[in-house]
Amino acid sequence: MTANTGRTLAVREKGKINLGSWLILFLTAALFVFLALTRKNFYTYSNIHSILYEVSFSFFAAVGFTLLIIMGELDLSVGSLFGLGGALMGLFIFNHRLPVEAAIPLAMALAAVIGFAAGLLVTAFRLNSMMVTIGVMMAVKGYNWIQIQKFGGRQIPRAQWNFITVELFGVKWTILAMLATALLFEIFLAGSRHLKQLYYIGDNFSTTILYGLNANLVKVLCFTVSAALSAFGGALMTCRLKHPHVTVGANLEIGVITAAVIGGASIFGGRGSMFRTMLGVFFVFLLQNGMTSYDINSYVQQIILGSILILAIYLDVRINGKRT
Amino acid sequence: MPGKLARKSEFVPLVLSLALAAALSAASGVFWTSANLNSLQASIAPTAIMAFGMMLCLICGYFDLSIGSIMLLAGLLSGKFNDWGLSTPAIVLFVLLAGLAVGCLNGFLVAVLGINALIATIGVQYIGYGFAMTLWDRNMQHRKFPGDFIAMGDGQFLGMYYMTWVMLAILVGLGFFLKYTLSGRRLYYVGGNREASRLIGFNDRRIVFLCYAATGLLAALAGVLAVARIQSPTQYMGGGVHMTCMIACVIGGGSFAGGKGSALGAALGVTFMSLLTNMFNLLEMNTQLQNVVVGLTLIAVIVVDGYLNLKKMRAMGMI
Repeated sequence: MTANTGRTLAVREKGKINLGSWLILFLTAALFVFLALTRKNFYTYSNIHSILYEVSFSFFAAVGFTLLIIMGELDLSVGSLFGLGGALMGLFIFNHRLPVEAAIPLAMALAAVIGFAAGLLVTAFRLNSMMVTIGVMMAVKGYNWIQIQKFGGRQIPRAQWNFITVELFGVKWTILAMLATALLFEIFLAGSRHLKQLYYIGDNFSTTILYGLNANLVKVLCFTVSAALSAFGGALMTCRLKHPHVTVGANLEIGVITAAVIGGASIFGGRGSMFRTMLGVFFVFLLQNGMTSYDINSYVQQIILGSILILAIYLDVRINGKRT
Repeated sequence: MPGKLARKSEFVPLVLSLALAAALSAASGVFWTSANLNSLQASIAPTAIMAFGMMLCLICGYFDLSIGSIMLLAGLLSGKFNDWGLSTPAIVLFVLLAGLAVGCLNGFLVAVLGINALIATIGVQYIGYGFAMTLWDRNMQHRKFPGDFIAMGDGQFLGMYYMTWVMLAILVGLGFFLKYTLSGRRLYYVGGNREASRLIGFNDRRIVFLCYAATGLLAALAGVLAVARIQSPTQYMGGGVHMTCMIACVIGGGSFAGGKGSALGAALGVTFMSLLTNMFNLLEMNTQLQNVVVGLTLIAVIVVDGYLNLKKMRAMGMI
C-alpha cells in the first residue's frame, strides 16, 4: 500500500478494489474476443503480430505523452514530431548521405530541441501546454510537408532500413523494445524516487515546489523526452514504409490522447501508467483493425474514434474532476 | 487624445494592418487591382464572421477549435442539399440549423458536461471532419449551384460583396451587443471572474452554452457564403481556419484568460491575418510554409498573452 500511495492516492487509501483503472484491460480483452469470434482471419499469428508491429511504432509517441499527462500537461505535438522523425531521417540519409545509425539519433536530437523549447515556454510563462503544442504541431507539420515533398517519393536504400526487419524469437524487435520500454517505465514510475515525483507534481504542483522539488525542470525534461521518443518512433515507422511519407504521424495525437485516457490517465494530472497506456494504444489499433475488417469507411472510423475520445474525457471529468 | 487611442486594444491590429497594407502596395504592383481586392474581401468576410464567434467564446474564457470542420460541413451540406434539389432559402436555412446543432453539441460538452474546452472542440473538429467527408464524393465539385445561390457569394453592392456587407452588419450588431447591452456585458463578467459572476447570480453555463451555439451558427453562415463564392463545394474548406481566427482574436485584443476583446478587434485581427496570407500569395510562397509561419505566430501570440497575464496577476498579488 505505501509503495503505491503516489499512484492512485484517492482510491487505494479507501481500500477498495479499483476496477476502474483496469477498465482498459477488460475493454481490450472484450474487443479481442469479439473480433476473434466474428472475423475469420483475425485470430492468426500473422495478423496479431502485424497489429502489434504497428502499435510498437506509435507507442513511442505515447511514452512521453504519458509522463506529461501524469503531471497534468498535454502534448499535442507528438503526432507532428513523430512525422518530423521520418522527415529529418530522410533529410540526413538523402541529402547528407549519413548512415541510418547516425540519422536517427540526429533526428531525435533536433526533435528534442523543439520539445525543450516548448517545455521552456510552457513553464517559464505558465502557459497552457495544449495551446503551445498546437502551435508546435502546426509549424512542424508544415515543415514535414515541405521537406517530404522535396524527396518526391524517393526510397530509402535497403541497407538502411534492413535493421527494422530483424526478428528475435520470431517476433519483430520493435515489439520487444516496446514491451521492455513499457515494463521499465512501469517499474520506475512505481518504485523510483525520480519518476514517482511526477505523480506528486501532477497531484499538487504548488506543494511539490514548497517541498523543494524543481518541478519546472522535471516538466521541461519530460517535454524533451517526449519529443525525442516521438521522433524515434516516426523514424522507425519510416524505415518500415521504406520512404518518408506525409501520413506518418497524421492525427496520431487523437489516438494517443484516447489511448492514455482510456488507459487510466487523467487530464487533471496525478494518474496514469505506462503499461496501461500501451494497452490503450493496442486497443485503439485493434479497434481500427477491426473496423477496417468490417469495411467501415475511414471517415466513419474517425467519427467513432473521436466519439470515444470525448466519452473517455467525459468519464475522466466525472471521476477525477474537481467538483464545480 | 492620441495616448487614449493608442491604449485601445484595437490599436495594435489597426497599425499592423495599415503597415502591412502599405508594405504590400509598395512591394507589389498588383495589390490595389480589383481582382486582388476582391479576393481579399472574399478571404476576410467569412473568416471575420467566424472570428466573431471565436471572440464570443474567448471573452468568456473558452475557445472553439471546431469551426473549421463546421465550415467544411456547411460547404459540403450545401452541396448535398443542392443535389437533393432543395431551393436556395431552404439550403441556407438547413445548413445554418446544422451549424447551430454542432455549436449546441460543443456547448453541451463544454458548459453542461464540463469537459475541457480544448479537448472537447478538438474532438468535435475530428468527428465533424469525418462526418463532413462521408458526405463528400468526387463528382460533387463538378455540380453547380443554382444561380441565386451563387449570386449570394458573387453579387456586389456598392463595389463590395454581399458577404462583406453581412460581415459589417454583424460587426455593428455584435459591437453594439457587447458594449451597450446588459447581456453582452455579462460575457465579460463571466470571462473576467467566473466565481464572482456565479455568486452574483449569473447563469454562467447558459451564457457559455449560448456563445458556443452562436459560434456554430456563425461558422455555418461563413461556410455557406464561402461556398457560394467559390461556386462548388471543395474538401479543402476550413483547413486551419480555427488557428487563423484564434490568432486574429488575440492580436485583436482578446485573451486566452478571458474577459477581454471586442468585435472590431476580431475584424481588424482577421484583416491583418488575411493581408499576411495575401502577402504570401503575392510573393508566391509555399502554402505549407504559410502553416509554419502561422504556427510560429500562434506560439508568439500565446507567449505574449501569457506574459501579459502573468504580469497582471503579479501586479494584483495573485501569485
